[in-house]
Amino acid sequence: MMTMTEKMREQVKELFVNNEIKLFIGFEKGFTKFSRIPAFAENYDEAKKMIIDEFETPFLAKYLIRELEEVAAGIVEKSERVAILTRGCDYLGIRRLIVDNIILRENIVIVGIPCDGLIDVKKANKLLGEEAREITIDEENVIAKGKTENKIISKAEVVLDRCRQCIMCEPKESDIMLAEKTANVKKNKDYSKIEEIEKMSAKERYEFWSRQFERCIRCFACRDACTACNCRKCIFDITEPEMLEKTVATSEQFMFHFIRAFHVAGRCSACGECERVCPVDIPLGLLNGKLRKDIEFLFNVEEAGIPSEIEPLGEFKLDDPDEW
Amino acid sequence: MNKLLRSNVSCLLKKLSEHTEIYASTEEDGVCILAKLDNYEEWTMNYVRTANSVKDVFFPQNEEIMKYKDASSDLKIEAPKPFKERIAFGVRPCDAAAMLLLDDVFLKGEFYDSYYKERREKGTIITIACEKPDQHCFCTSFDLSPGATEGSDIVLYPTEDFFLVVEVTEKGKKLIKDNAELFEDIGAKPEIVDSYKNMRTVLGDVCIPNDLNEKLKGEFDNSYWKKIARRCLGCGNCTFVCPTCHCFAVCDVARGCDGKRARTWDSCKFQDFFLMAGDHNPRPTQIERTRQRFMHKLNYFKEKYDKYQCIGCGRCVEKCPVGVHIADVITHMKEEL
Amino acid sequence: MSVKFKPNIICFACNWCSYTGADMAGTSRMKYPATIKIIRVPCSGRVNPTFIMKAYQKGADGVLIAGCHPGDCHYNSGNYFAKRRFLLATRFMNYIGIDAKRLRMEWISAAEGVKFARVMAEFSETISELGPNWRAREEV
Repeated sequence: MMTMTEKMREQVKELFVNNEIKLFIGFEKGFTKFSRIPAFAENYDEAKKMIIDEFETPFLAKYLIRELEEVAAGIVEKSERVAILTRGCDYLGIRRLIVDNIILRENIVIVGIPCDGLIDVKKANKLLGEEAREITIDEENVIAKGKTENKIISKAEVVLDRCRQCIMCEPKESDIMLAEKTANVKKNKDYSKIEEIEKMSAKERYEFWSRQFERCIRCFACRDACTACNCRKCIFDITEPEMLEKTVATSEQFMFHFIRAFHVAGRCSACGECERVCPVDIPLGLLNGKLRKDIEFLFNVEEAGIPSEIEPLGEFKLDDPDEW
Repeated sequence: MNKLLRSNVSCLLKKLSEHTEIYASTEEDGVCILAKLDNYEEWTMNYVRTANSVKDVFFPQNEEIMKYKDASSDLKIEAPKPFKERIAFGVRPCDAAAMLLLDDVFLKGEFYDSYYKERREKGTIITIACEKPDQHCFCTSFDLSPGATEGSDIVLYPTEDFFLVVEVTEKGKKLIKDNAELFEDIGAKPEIVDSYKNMRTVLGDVCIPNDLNEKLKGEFDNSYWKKIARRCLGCGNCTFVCPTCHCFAVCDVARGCDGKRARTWDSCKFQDFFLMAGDHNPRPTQIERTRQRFMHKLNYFKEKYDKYQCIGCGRCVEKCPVGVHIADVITHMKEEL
Repeated sequence: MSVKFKPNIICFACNWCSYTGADMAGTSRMKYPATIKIIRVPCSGRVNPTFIMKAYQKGADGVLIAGCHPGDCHYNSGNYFAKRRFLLATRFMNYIGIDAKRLRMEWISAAEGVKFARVMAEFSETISELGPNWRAREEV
């Protein structure tokens, strides 16, 4: 049976030979072991090094903005297309960009991958008790090789936290699907951590968030990685009026995180990328999650993570609740 | 050489805190950071590198330069309060060595930075040698090692049940003399120190040729910059966690007639870093900005101070969300040029 | 003798109803506390939640948003959008630790000078009891 990587190469070759795409975005091995990084191929030869496996990968959807900038601006021909490897969560990001009119569907070729959840190397290392030298992944287990001993861990144990709450395990629509497999990982909406914080007193909550926010170094990675953050000019980059000063006092940190979270309210697709890129591990998912939870509860939205044509804050119903 | 029992560390920190501010490695919600310590039991050794570097202690992200009051009638300008003595505890050898690079920038030459100078003079760095460098470390590429003493005042070499204490500077010697009751002389034990100094990091073979900067000079338009910049998201992550990056901005924060002037870190990865009056941006895309970062580290800094501006701590590598790797850049450039 | 705490309250009032309502209160010689500073906005839908956060940061102890009654919006539906936003914003601010009681939204029409004065007095009283807000406030 062909592996997904082989199938991808075959499909990409065809796309390039038929001159259907100008660029293919996928993953390749990074310089560090087990890291998977974004890769860009403008011809088939460049695409040969690309791989698909189950290690944690960055999100690719955000790159579409930059790569299709010229198409959107009308500088180059409208017919140019970009192919992109897409998991369910990537698909939600792409959908977000399409709904927001940043890119057009006809300019992208979605190469879909079904996904059961990605492997967190850190968790595997922790269970092994040292830095794994080699990790092999099969259907059900992850085998981590240490200095002297090997450890067989079941996949469910080392799957990424964000994958546990996945709301879409394969892209809903795709041009090419690399495998036909319905995912078998159980997906549960899990708001338990948020409920825990809700139960705290106001003082405890403020202290909790102060502690988290004070760690923030304001690198803006959470913004730069987020597909919902697709404004042409971000409010944080505008100096006049300066909504956010450059100093990093606690109040400014509150301001920053409030604005960031609220700007993606009703638009966040729960992909968890902001949490992944944060260098100081601020639980940003708990902020976005709270907003999603409230939107679902207040406005009767079934799944706030899935982008709809009209977003929850862009519409209203006459019978919206009245109590503040 | 002295030894310090592991159980005595909290005691030492407590004693030192009577006169000084202690910055030590603590774990906060699962993240290990170097922060001001209030509870001396809380220090931990459960890390390879802290999320923030020792740069935070001497060159903080946010530093008040002056305060002004009532600018409308009778202008009063207040200088910041004098700094307290401070001790950074549990710093890694690479971070300590990075301070020497910052010293070059802020202290050497015709002008010096008075705030930085005061902090440095009143600061002591106590380093703990690395027991287990991880896959991101490459300090051995820069003539350092998991047991290097450059930049530290005291280095602690962990063994099974105690720390072997090596004093490096006069400041360090004095600190040990003042707290002599906690230390115990055990004679020379060079084999422990050597075992740390001879340790190789996993990426240690990324040797940097001494003339890489010469080679890089002509490579302004190298297509490689374009290749890595395509991946770069444009966040300031790598520059903010880097112990050697030192670009800053000065900004005023005002409320009515009162206000303050502050110095904050800034990053060459941000699009507004180069933005000039009239909306001109000499580095308009991520390609130029990425090139700037690596050229500064591997070319301009070397030309000015005869050192590469990197000590191989591996923070930018670990934290970069899209795997832009400085060792990758070095290896590639070495092979290509 | 202890001096009673005088709060700083920011009121974002919609130009068409609530601001005119404040005028009405004024021309009718009704009294309401001087602790309230009114900022006129074209519509309650204009109030970005960022404004509220900024108000807290710059020293407000309470924020009040006043708009037209549902169905009466000058722009047809601005206040409905505002309502959705504030349902979310109050809960979110509460979640990050800023007391939800410090944020209030009221529908006040141009004819309701009495209601305007009453709401302001009530809100001022609530905030006085809560005391000053130090959370997320900048230190200058």
